[in-house]
Amino acid sequence: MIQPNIRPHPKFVNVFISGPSEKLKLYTKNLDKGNVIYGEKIILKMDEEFRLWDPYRSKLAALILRGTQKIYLERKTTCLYLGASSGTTISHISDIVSNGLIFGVEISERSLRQLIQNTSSRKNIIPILGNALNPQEYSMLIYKPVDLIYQDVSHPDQANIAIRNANLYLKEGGKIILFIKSQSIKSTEKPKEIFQNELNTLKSANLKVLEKINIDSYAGGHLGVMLEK
Amino acid sequence: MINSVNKYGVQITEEQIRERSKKLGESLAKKSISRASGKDDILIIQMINTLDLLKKTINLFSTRIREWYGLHFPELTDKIIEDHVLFSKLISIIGNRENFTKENLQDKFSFKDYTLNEIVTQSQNSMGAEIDLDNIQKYADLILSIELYRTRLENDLDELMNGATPNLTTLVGALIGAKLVASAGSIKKLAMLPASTIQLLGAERALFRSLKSSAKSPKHGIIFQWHGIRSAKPWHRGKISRLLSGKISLAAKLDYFSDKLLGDQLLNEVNQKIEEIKRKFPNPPKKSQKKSQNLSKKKRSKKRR
Repeated sequence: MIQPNIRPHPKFVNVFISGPSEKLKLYTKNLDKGNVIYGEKIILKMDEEFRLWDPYRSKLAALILRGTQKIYLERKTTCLYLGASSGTTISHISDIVSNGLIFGVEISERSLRQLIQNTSSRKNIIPILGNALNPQEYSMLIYKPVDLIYQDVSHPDQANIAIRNANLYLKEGGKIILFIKSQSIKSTEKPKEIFQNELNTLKSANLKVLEKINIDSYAGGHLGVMLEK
Repeated sequence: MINSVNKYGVQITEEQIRERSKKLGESLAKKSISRASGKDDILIIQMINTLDLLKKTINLFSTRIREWYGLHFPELTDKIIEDHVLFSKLISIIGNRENFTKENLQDKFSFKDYTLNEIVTQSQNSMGAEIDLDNIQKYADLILSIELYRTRLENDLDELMNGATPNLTTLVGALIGAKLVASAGSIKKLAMLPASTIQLLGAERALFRSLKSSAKSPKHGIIFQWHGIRSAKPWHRGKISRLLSGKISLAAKLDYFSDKLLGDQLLNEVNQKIEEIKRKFPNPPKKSQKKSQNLSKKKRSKKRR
């Protein structure tokens, strides 16, 4: 097998790429060596493990491949992750913010069960069982304001979840990466109208829209939005 | 945060706070996970899903064994025995078609005279071939053991449902009740649902199809399996569905919020009202010519698109 030429991503810290630009593959350096989360491919190079990052399973990877300007993740970022699920994306974020901290909030016991088992050996993930719509529920665990909120939930009131959590936990000037799922808001309306509605709600709460990226080709009916408080 | 804590003389580093937060988060989550996993709801959902799967499996396995055993005794496969489980029992106990004698059959089964004679005569001049039956008989045993486990599971589910949702179980039975609980997600969620949603639980695909296009909206979901609806005249079904889902909603609320046992009363009311509906609407409604024409036009134009 030919070893892919893994090199650092020109723009983002701790993100790695291989292949030609039209067939780019993404990787992150495995923080928890020897463990695989969701059966992803691992490439060994110079004593390091690189985990392949699948854009069809992780929307952040899709966002990067669709050419976003910034992902606001540095080595020491503190991040609040809403909708952690079983740990696919959160594990890659954990690789990127190697000296940072992630609070992973998830409402379903079933998913959190997997998350805990997958990430118990990663020091920078704090799993939280709670409803993101009531951010006070988990205030005892979030012991410092966060630099970034990453939200990917299936809920009809996604804009409000983002607003409430931002009011409570986000630093002034902090960023939000939000994925709007049109299908869980209303399946009978056109995605475009739903996106516009949600964006209006967000704007009316004094959140500045920095960037909008359509990731339809990787996840149907989804819009990635970057916001600033 | 660290500064404010240190002000009170507590020496703690950022690293330690992080470690303790992780531990706290994990143990809180683990506790509620184990609490949630032991709930009756979850067990009911697992059991009813397993039952569904077992039913499907038995059907699937039985069609295969019919094909296989049909090589040896095609007449039994094609014409005489329709019941899958009985078929497997015959293969398991008797096996070779030469052993299908009157004494053998009377000894272990209770067939009617007509069927008994049919089996015996057909077995004597069968067009099947002589093949090795050992593997087929083992396969039949397998099917029978699945069936045995299925009945056991069904009894256990019955018991569990009687304890967890007595009113719902009296009204529609354990199987349909469990399916409703599974579809809603939990007993609590079912109790919170309006009757109109309960009516269409399990018919989501048809519902959204009708919302998105001009297709007819469905009348019933899971509750169609209730004998009173399944055996009713088509033009009664919608009315009975509405009636029944209302009573189910009441029963679920009784089960979740109180200890009262009013299931029999609800069932009586349902039966009375069904009689009333049957009396009021003995004949099918006439379809208006205009409406049906319009509908067919719409359908055609859609196809073209």
